[in-house]
Amino acid sequence: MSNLLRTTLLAATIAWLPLTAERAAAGTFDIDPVHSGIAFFIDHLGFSQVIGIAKEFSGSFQFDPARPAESSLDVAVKVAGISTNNSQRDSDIQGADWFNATEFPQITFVGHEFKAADAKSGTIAGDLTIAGVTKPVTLDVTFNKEGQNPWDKSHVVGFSARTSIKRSDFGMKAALGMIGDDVSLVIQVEGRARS
Amino acid sequence: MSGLARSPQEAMILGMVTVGLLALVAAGLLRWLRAGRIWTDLLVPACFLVAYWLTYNKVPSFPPVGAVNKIFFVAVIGTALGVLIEATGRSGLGRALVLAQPIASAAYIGTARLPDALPEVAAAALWGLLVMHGLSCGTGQSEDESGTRRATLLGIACAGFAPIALLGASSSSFQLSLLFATTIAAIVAANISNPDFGFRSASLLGGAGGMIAVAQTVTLITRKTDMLALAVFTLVFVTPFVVDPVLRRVRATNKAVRIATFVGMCLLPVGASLATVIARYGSSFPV
Repeated sequence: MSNLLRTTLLAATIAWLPLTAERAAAGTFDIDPVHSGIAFFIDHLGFSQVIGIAKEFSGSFQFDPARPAESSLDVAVKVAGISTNNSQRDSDIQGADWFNATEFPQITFVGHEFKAADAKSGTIAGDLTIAGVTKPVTLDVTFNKEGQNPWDKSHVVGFSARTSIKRSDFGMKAALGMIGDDVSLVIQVEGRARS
Repeated sequence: MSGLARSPQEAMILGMVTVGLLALVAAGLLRWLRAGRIWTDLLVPACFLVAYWLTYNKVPSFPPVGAVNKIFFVAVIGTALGVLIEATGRSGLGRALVLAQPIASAAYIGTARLPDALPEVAAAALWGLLVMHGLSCGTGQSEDESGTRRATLLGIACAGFAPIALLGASSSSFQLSLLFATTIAAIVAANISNPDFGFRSASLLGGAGGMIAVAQTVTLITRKTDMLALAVFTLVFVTPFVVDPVLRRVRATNKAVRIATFVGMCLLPVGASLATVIARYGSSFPV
């Protein structure tokens, strides 16, 4: 009986080892745009928070759950794909007063310092570049889950992030009295490991 | 919005009244001090820079990032060159710079669109050239009348460009245009009978050059300009070439009558462009 128990335990341990090794391995993950999203919120005359979304973005990150400090993150958002659910306004914010899509077609974020607060949360400090102006920004990150996608068996990491920036820091000072200076950013990311 | 204003419109009007009064005081002070034409020539570009600062709430760092920030340096460099030209009396060089500036400005503002949109950048340069030619070639019976005419033309043009800028998705350019137009109106009002008033190289290169850079930014970078309205509006710069035959025909010798006729003729194309804007956009006018 005890031999049977030992054999069973050994078999289970052997079967579990590859999964553990996979989970612990550092990997490069491509952001899955289908299951990721970037939204921003900005005050309108104090009445409401207008919601905007980035429809087109891409990026990748390197992530090792055992060594989060060694991770890296690169994200690029296409300015032309920013939507606020109003075509007139969406067209206007592409202009020189705002995102200036002609001269600066992309918004980028490069994360370079990762700090884990606990097993589930931490911060990513990096450089955010909007309209040609680069400023340091820190994302508050919640690590959601790492594991295998049951549909396609891909290795997936998911996290949520939030931060707040001032648009005036990036030179966007149009209509400051009417449209808020503080912009809240909410980010949901699902990354798929490169095979 | 400032604490005194209860709406964006009130804030805008308050800003215009404030800069208008400031320009009136500055122009009146220079006149009272009998400052020469070099000093009065600085009023227009100084007002442009103040209008820029009020609009964008900043003095951009150098080197400038983006077209909006480049506008400031186009105006500053233009003003400096204008002062230099007036101080050294090199009018030939001044004439060359006045014609070269809109070309350089279009290339500088439109750098991001080169070489792909070379025809558009070239068109913006030619447009600026026409504006500068119209502003610098119109002459009155005396220098102060010429200066008044040029300032008046620039002021009316700024006011006329404002709705085109607003439709061109640039509320900042709209605001800047109206603020600058108000200051020019104040300068003209203070100098209407001032023989020492000058609208020379600094006004052209700094003030008008700055406004040309604004228009080039709206057309080349924001790229939502209504071209029909802009074409109609541009006719205002032809006024200096057609007003003199009209004045000769009506035998107007009084300066006030001549200026009033000039203003009336400038308002025709500006009014037509405003009508074009309203007719084409009507209720969707994004106020």
